[in-house]
Amino acid sequence: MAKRPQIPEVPKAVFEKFLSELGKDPALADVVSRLKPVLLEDEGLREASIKSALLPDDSG
Amino acid sequence: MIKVLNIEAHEFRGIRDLSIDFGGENFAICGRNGTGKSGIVDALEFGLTGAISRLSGKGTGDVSLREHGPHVDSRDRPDKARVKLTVKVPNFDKPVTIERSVRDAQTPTVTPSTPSVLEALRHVALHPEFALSRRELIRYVISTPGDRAREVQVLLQLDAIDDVRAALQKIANACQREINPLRRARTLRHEQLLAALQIPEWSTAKVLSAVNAKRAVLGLSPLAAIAATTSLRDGLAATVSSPISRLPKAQAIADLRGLRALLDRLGSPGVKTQAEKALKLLLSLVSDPNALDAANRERFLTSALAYIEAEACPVCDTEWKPDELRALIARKLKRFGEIARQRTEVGKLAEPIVALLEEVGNAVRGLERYGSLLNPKISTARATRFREVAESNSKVIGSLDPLPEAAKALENFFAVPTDLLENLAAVESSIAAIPDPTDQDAARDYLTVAQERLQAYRDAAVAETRAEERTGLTRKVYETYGRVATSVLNGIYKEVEKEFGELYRFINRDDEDKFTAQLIPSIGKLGFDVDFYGRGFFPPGAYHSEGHQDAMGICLYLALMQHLLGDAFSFAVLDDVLMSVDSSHRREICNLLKQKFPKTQFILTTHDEIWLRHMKSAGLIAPRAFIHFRTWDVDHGPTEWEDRDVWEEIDAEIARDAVRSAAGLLRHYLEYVSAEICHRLRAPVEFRGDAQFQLGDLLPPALSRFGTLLREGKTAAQSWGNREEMTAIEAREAEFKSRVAATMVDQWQINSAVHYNAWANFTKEDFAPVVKAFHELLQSFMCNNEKCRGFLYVQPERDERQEVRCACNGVNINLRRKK
Repeated sequence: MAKRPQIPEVPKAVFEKFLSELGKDPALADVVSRLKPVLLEDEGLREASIKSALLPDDSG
Repeated sequence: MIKVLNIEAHEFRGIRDLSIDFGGENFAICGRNGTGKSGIVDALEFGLTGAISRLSGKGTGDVSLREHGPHVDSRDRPDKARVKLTVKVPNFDKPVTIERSVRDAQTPTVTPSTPSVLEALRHVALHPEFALSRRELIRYVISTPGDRAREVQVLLQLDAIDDVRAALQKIANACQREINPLRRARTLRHEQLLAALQIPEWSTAKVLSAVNAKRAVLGLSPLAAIAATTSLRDGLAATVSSPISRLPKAQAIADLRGLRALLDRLGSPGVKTQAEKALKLLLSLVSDPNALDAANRERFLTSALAYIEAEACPVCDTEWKPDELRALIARKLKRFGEIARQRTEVGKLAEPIVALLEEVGNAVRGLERYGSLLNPKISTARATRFREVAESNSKVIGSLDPLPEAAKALENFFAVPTDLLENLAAVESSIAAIPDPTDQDAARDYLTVAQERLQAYRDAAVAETRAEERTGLTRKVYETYGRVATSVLNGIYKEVEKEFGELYRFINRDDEDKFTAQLIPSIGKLGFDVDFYGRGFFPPGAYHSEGHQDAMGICLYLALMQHLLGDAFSFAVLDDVLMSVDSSHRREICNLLKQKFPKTQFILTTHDEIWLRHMKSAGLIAPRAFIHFRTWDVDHGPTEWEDRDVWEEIDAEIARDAVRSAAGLLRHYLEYVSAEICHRLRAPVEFRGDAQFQLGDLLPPALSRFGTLLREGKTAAQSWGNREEMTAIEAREAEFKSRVAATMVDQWQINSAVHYNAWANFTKEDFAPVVKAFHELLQSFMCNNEKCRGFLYVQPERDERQEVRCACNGVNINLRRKK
């Protein structure tokens, strides 16, 4: 079987609601659009991916 | 999810070669311990997921799927260990096969492999929790809240939620930690800027007044305002010589005056008092070896926690699930709660001292620079040594690591060495001796240095603001996540709690119809209290019996699965999970599974034949939807009580002159099948409290009841005037009597133990007719239809007998007489 990201049901529900809550703040629209693929589409959740979604200009 | 139609297993675990037709329906697997039931469960799990949970995880030691998945005689041939499942996939009209070997466990051959089929199978592989054993069931119920939380976390697959929570917290904490050093740096740059501007405090008016006075000396237009990009030296020729190559006398004097003020502060009573407070608390940790050891451990564990990123220990690289390792370290850290609190308090008390030492170090760097710009140069080696100590002390006090070093630094930091003061005095004296610059040079120096420091201050302020913004953002995201995750999980637990209560009340409605339960989530824990007959809420193990706890376990599992999968909860394996539940409640569990989960295919294993009968009589499984293993051996794997196989096996034993073996097999099979016939025909058997019925206890009542039923059938047919039916029953009766006579069972009944055992001493020529006679006798109790071949049974199971029939209805003898 070809691999494809699979997010279990409960975490998926949490992530979707979380993104929806964040999206209520217009100032966080960019963060939401960067976080969405990390949480719902990435093969594995990595701290580095989450960090660069939150702080894309972070050089450290 | 899917339903399983058939399983074939070869050289897998204890199985040599086995095929079972489940037909996509509920199915039971019965057999004493060690007859191979769990091998089927393993094969199902392996076929669907490519893994066997019993061979992985905690407590499995050196056992692995690769090495121990194949049959012991094929352990070097993982390619031979194969499982093939035929399944029904939702919204796909053809059967799908999944075939995998232990060698290629993760790359099954799926036929047909359309995208929708693969998607459905991925969903199954994502939920290995479809198989529940009693070991797991008990963990849901009577484990500690922390362990239960982990079990439920595994079932609901909450690891990813915790992983994201931990990552967001780590990022937010890292941003938070950046703020204090940046804030101190900005304060320092601010002090340096004021020194360069030679004003006591920042106000736009004072800055403009001081700067414009210098600009006027150089004929530059005055600045009207100080904006974010304003340059104090705006208009000054870019080619002016750098102040690095020429000592700016006024600035140097002001900076060195600032250094003296800092050194005075260093020795001031206020700073000393602050340091002594921090030192006192710190010494209470350092002077007690146990506290110091605990503090060091706490520090180590806290650091370890911060460095867990991959699925391994950050220290020794041992493989760990990050959340499990975090939970372990968090548990260890709890013991050091008081130490952590004291360390934090010391840190807060020491913070102003750290800032002061940073300021001093920076000011001493100015002294060193001015010493090198003088002509002749003045060595500031003593100042350099002092600065290095101040910076080192600042670092060790700031980090409180190691604690004894931090204590030493706090004890000594305010002692300003005399040679530093001598160094300072020498540089001050030399600078004072430098001829005063012209007004223009002094103004140029002023504007140049002030602009440099203004820019440094602006950069520091931008860095601090940026860090505050990053902290604000990451903190908000983290807090939102925590709030949402808690809210979603609490919602799930509330629904599961309600569903669990309903399921448990269904099973126990006779005496616990008001039963309720509480799932109480808290960080890392999931409390579970249940009502005990209206006397309050208690842990399940407190007052409820083991049987009730088993029932709670299965109800909680079903409630969680129902919530997790909804309509997709179409397949579950319950592996010997109800051993402590009494017969009446087992019947209710059958009803529960049938009525509340009609779309779910349950595969149930049990070592208890009575439980198997319950499943059949309650209609949880169809009359033929079970397999009954009679034995297992390493050479052949599990073998079942399957009529045709048994007779072939007995014949084979006789053929090789193994009469003793054939006799034992015949006797065991007759015992098994007689019990089945007695049950089906509702034959009255002398009660035995230990339920240990032998052939002599079972076969005669079976024969007697069948004879009675045939007579009742004849009488009923006669009452209805149904000659055809009467004739058919008479023929069946005659054949039955003839077969009974052939077995000479009436004679053996006199002393069954002696006679049945005597078979073992027969020659094969004597024993073969006995076998033939019993084989033919059993045909009387069966349907002749080759597709059915089921044993006849009386309907209904209780109350007035109405008919004798078989599963296909090819035999249907009416027992009710015309009134």
